[in-house]
This record gives sequence, structure tokens and C-alpha cells, in this order.
Amino acid sequence: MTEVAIAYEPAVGRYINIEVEGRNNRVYVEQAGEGTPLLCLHTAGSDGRQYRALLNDERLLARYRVIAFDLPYHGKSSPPEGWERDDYLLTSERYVATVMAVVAALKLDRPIVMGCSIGGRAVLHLALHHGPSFRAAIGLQSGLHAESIFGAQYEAEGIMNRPEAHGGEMCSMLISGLIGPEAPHKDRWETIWHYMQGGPGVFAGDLYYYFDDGDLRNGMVSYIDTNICPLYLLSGEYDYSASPEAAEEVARNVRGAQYQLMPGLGHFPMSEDPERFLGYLRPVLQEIEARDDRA
Amino acid sequence: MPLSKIYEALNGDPSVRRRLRFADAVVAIEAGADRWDIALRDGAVAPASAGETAQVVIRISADAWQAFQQPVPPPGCHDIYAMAETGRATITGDFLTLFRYSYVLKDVLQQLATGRMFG
Repeated sequence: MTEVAIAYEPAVGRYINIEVEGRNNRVYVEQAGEGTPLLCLHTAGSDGRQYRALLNDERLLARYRVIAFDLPYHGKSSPPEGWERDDYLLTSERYVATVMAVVAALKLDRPIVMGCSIGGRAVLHLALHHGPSFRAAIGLQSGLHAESIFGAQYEAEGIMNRPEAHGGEMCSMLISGLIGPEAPHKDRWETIWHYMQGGPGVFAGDLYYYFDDGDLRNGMVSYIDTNICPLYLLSGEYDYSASPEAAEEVARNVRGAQYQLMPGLGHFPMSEDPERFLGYLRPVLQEIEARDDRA
Repeated sequence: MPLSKIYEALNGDPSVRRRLRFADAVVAIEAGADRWDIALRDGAVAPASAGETAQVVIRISADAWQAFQQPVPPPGCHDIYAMAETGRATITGDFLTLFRYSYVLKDVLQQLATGRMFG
């Protein structure tokens, strides 16, 4: 009898332990491919599965080591010991420290860092404070800040984390309209599913960074040096939260930043419609590669 | 499409029945000059009875409602929350009720606009 090979996907998942703000965090990391490291940051309240298509794309994996990790509290990453008595809040300092701890733990040599939404904000903080550590930064759905007309409901009514409602359903519902109308059915609902699986209060804790602590309207982004860390901004046109206008504002404030609209896509380009997204990502990666070769 | 067919399509969907199995709410939807008062109750969508008060009222501008009916709606008109966040719709009332049943409400809006289900 002929033995049939096991059809594993290329990604391999491992755990690392990193220290952030004096606390140990057990963090789940998925990686695939070889070459330039491409470190991927997920959106608020979700996890690294958003990058599943990149972790399966043969063309990408032939040239890049694609790495997606789950922030502590997210996906398969544990919260730190003692979480049960704390309210989870993602601050700018904690976010940057977490990413830099992952970079150090994995011994990454100047990776390209790419993040979406809160990750799209984080790449700005990273380019600003740790520019020399990165080959380039790619912000998906980046903005200097964000706000919502439902802000009061998010906060005062604690709509995402209250006993009489299913938090996962509430969180997923809040993001479901951010997906472009032409997203493939399967990818739309997988993107939504990730939100349904979030831990209690985690999405809300991430939004503290998104709406409050991570606000970059303080002029600091003008100090990002794109000669050291080139910045690319890709923005889905159906995103009404981190809108294309918000990314354009970033581009206006960062000398040398390059901005491109992604027609047809929403807030979760890499997850809601991966094939369409890859069409926008590949030229950016090629440009980073060419720039790196020239340097 | 006749309203009865829309209710039939909604109530024929297992996910709608599952999401509404503990529901007891009334939602009013105004789109341009049209208004629908809808009861979400006992696992089904039905017209609200006369005199019932809506816990949630959704008001969508005529332009946004028309745009929403296009095969590929433009940004800002592709979803009720997109319309609300971009000033094309208002939502008032009890937000816990709104958020609890939003997936069904999205199905209701899609059915009223296009005869399809959300997503």
C-alpha cells in the first residue's frame, strides 16, 4: 500500500517565553518560509491566524520568513500570571516592549515589521523608537488616532464584556461591518470567528491603545526617519475606523512615507480577502528588497 | 420582494432562528420614506404588533439606503455601522439590544434592500 504524505501546512507553531514589564509571558509564534524576516502584528482582539494566507503563500515563503505571533492574552498566548485580578489594558509602552521582546527572543535581524489596525499604529511607534531595528515598516490601516460614535457604549456600558451578553458575539459584531463587501464568504466569516474567540475584556483592553494611549497626534511621527526605517502605508477603502484619510494623514506627517489605497478592501485586508491583499503587498515587498539591495 | 417573502427567507435561516431563540425585542427601521417595525421574538422575525414600542430605532438616509442596494455598495454605505459612523444613519435606543441582535438586523436590512442575507 502506498503511503500518502501528511498534508501539513508550511507553518510551524512554537512557544517562547518573554519578559515584558517585569512579567513572564508565554507567547505563541507561527513561522514559515526562509529569507528576510517579515514580522506580522494582528489587529485588536484577534490573533496571528489573520496572517494564515501569508503563512501559506509559496511565492512569499520562497523569499521571506513570515512570522506571526499572538500578543499575550490573545489566541494561544497565555495571559501573565496574576491576570485574574487585573484589568487588561494595552499601552503603547507595553505593546512596543512586547514586539521588541519577540524580536530579541527570535534573534531577528532587522525584520520588516507589518501590522494592521493597532498593529498599523504600533509600526509607527516602532519606527519612531526603534527604527534601526527594522528593515522597513508596513502599516495596514494605520492612523494617528481613531474614534467611534459608539465610544460611550464601548466604555460606559462595557458593551464588550458584561455578564448578560456573549462577549465574543459582541466583539465580532462590532467589527463585522469593517470588512469589504466583496470579501470571500469563507474569509469574512473566519475573520469574524477570530473575534468570537477573544478572551473577556481583551478586545476592549486593546482598544484602550487604539482610542486612547496610542494616540500619535502629538507630532512625534514627524521624527520617524524613513531613510533608516522606510514606511509604507496600505489602506483598505471600506475601513471607516482606520480610514484611508487617516493613513493619508500619517503620510503627510512622515517625510518619505509612501501611501497606497487598496480598493475593495476593509479593515482586515490580510484576513478578509488575502488574495486581493497580496496583490498590493507584493510590490511593496519588492520595493523594500530593491531599496535594501541599493543600500 | 413582498414583505412576507422577506420574513419567510429570514425565518427559514437556521442562524436567524438560533440567534433569536431567547429574543424579545422590537426594532424600528426607517429608510428614506419607508418604515418597518419588526419584532424579534421566540426565534423568529415578524411584524411588530400595533402599539408596540421599539427599543431600537435605526434611521437611514434615502441616499445611503439607495446606495446600500447596489450590488457593490460604496464605502460608508455597505453596512449599517458604516452608515452610522459616517453620518448616513442614526441609531438610538437600547444599545445592548442593538448589539445583541446586530447579525440578525444586518440580515433584515440586507433582505429589505437586496433580498440577500448579510455576508
